[in-house]
Amino acid sequence: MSFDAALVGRFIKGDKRACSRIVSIVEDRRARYEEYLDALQPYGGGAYVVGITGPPGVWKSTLINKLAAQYLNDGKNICVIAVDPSSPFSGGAVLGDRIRIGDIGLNPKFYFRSLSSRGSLGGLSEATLDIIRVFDAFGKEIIIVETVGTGQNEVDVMQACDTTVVVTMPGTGDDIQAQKAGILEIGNIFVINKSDRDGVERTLRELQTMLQMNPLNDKYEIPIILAKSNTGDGISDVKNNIEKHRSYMASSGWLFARRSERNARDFKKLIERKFIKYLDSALAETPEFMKAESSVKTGEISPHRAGEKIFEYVRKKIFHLTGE
Amino acid sequence: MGLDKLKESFKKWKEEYQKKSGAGKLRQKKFMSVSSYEPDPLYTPLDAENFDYFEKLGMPGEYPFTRGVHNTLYREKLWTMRQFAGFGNARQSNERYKYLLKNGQTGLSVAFHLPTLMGLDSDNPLSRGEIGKDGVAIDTLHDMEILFDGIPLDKVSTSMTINAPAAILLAMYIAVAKKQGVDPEKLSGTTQNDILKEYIAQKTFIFPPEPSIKLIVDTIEYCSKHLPMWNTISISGYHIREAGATALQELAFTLIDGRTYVEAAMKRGIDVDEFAPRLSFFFNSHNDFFEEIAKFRAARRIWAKLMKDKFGSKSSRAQLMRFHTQTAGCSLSAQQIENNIVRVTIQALAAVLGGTQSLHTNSMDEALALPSEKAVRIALRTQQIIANESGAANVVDPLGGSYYIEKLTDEMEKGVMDYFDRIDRMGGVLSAIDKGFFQSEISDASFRYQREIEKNERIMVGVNAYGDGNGEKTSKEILKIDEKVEREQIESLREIKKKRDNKKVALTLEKLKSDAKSGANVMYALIDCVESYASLQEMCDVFREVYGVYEEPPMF
Amino acid sequence: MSEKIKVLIAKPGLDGHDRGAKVVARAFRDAGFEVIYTGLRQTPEQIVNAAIEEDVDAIGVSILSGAHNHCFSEIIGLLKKNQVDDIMIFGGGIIPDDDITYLKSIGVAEIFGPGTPTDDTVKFVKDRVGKGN
Repeated sequence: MSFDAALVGRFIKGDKRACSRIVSIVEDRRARYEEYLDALQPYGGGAYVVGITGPPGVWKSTLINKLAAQYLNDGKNICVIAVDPSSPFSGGAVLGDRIRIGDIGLNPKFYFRSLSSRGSLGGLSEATLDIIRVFDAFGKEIIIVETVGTGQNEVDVMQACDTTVVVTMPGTGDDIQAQKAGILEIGNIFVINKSDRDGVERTLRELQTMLQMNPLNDKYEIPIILAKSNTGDGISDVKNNIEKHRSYMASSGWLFARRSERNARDFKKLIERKFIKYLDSALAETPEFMKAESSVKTGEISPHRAGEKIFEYVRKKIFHLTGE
Repeated sequence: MGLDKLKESFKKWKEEYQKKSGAGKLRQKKFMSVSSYEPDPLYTPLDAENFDYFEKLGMPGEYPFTRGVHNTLYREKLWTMRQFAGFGNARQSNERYKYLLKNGQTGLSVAFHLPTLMGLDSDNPLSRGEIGKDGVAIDTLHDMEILFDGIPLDKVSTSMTINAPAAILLAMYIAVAKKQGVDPEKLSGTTQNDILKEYIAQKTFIFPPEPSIKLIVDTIEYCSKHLPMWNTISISGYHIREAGATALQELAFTLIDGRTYVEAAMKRGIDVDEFAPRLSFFFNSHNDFFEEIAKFRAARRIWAKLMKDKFGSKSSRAQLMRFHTQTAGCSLSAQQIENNIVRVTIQALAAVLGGTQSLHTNSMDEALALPSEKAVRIALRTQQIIANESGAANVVDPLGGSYYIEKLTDEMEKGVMDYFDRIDRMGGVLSAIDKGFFQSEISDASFRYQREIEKNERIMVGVNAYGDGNGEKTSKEILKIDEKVEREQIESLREIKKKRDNKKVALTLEKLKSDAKSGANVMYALIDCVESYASLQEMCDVFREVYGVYEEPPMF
Repeated sequence: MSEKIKVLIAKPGLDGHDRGAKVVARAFRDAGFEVIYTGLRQTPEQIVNAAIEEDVDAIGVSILSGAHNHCFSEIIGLLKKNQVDDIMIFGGGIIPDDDITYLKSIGVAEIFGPGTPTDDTVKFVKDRVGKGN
């Protein structure tokens, strides 16, 4: 597949289909996808990324829909990326987050893209960060990333986003406890949605108590907002708090620090991946590797020992390095 | 009776059976019902030990009504033959109704087109392409007058399949009756008016659950005062079944919806013995003959107990469950459509042996289009043959006492109570709808059913077995809706809006809005609106403004 | 990373019968496709917009209310207007043979009526879209 410069040309002119196509190329990691990312590099830089996460059933979609409407009202150019888990068995997925879009769907400044996690244990497809870059280059000012919060995913979300909003709802104390793992450490803003339900005071108190123990809270007081996304109550509060956090991030230097760290991390990951890919193909058929592998399988030598041996082999014979 | 002898005999029989089964001598690995239920190969008096006739069955017409709601049932009066019909414009449907009545149908059943079901007028851009395609187009009272032209409403009972805007169509029906000079007290019929199953299955909802239930209670209250013979609601399982539910789910979800409505009406202070006699039900009748019969019998028994024990009703009229049945649309094949006549016959017979009060039989071509005249005539004849030639109507509850049927009826009842517990633990029906519980149960069941067919564990004759290879071309006789119906309907609506007293319309709509806002019973204001020729959408828009619009939970 | 076959399953018009659409969506998922399901009551504009934003390979239209001729032609018209010529259109529901002939003449690849095994539909999409999967 050759590099399609015309496609990039159309993208730069603001053609939605071209953007959509490039997102797919990047998502699928199709041949030469890095060249497309390279070509887009000079553009964008103006996007602010908001992550919205929380367990199923808290009406995140409705909240995001209303939040998006407010941003559109302000004249902002926005997009929503919604991530849903894919089937661990078939690799397929049913992505139903568009159900909630409603009227704003046809607004030319609005763009909605569904992603499946594609089996990534992190819950976010590996390509998500790159896809965010594409939308940034496309001129999007606010990029909302929606995920279903279940454990380890949250850390990924936090790393990919500038502000993270955690959504929950009134429930038994157990719910908050269950969600605790990791969630409380990454949220910059908390929203208790469906706040007209029973148990909201208790949930609020529990959250407040847990947040007090969070070290991040010392630098910036983490707000807890009560909302009813079906009626729209509290949505402006959410938006205002996002903006407030954004100013804080910018003025304190955190935003820059976070983004540079993110880029650095990505850079490292990409190098790792490239090396792994290279080694996979370089080593796979070599007799040294195959012998070591079968010895490990039969238990003749330990995996650590075998690993050392192969590492030395790679250093000397593949990379031609000498010395220590 | 010699139970010991029977136990011995049965044990021997079972061993023989298991030998054959183990040796792979049986036709199939599994023998299951339509709902994937696996019955035993044989039932005997051993399944009926400790069977208490009066606790489980009672006499027909007496609590708990398992055997039927009337002591002589069909010997006195056959079930009503009520074919669901409606297409094109009011004039065309009026002709079809007259055709059906002429051919022996004994009650009318109106199908409205999708825009009407969704509270939209024919000139709404969302209605393009949908006018008259799957029901009759009704925009104003003018259409309703034409629909019943020449049909005396004091002599013919009419069932209307309408849910979100049911109160409006009821107001229209009352207005037509007034114009015919018929006293509303004489009106008999039904409005389906069952919004809970819309959220669960049929999906023709408009407003959110709480105000929708308020509208339903308004109609119940209004009818208890002014239309004593009107069935205010047809609590439905048919659509739930069509969406893919099992027989048990159909039964459980319908009954718990019914329970919710009773609770709502009682909360408003209406006496249960006053409104409950006018609640009615609507079930599906699918292919598994025995499962369906047991379902109908269990339905009556469970409802009677609920009304007596939980709601404290005193009169038997409030405890007995009357229902309409329709044969299963989802069982019809688009291939070898004549086979559908046979399916419908079996399903109709099950409904009759289950004691239904009224029955609709599907036409053979309904997997392709709305019924043609010939096909609907055959469907009607099916009922008439069952009534007059098969002997099924000669004895009340003829399958009562069958070891299999009684066991199955008991199991259905138990299964329903289990579902009730689960749903109650979730916080009740509205909460369960919110969580997508019903929708996911139904979705799972329908997917399982489809897989069974594809793996050939379940045979559908003419479809995955005994097929014709490349399929015969379907008959050219199917019903087509002329495209000009749409243009004419829009024109007609425009004319009405020009000719009517628009100042009066505006005033009646204002009153409707203020009544809706204040929580007053809206029926009175609706009748005024309707009589001034306000359109359906105009009235629904008032409700949309006051009550809001429902959005489905993104449940897949 | 693999290239997934992406299909939009659409319910245009006012029709609320979603049993078939959901069964097919599940079957597609089990076959490894990514399915975008936009829910009930979508206008042709919403459907085409979603198809473009999600960069789908095919659109499966489910319609049981009799409004199929209108809905399909609207969708196809809009795709043309947006210069989209590489999305495959197919569908299912209650559609008589005469209308199937008409629909195919305006660009619908295939109609899968009641009784079609989902495996057939899966195979058709795989063959037509032609991606490795």
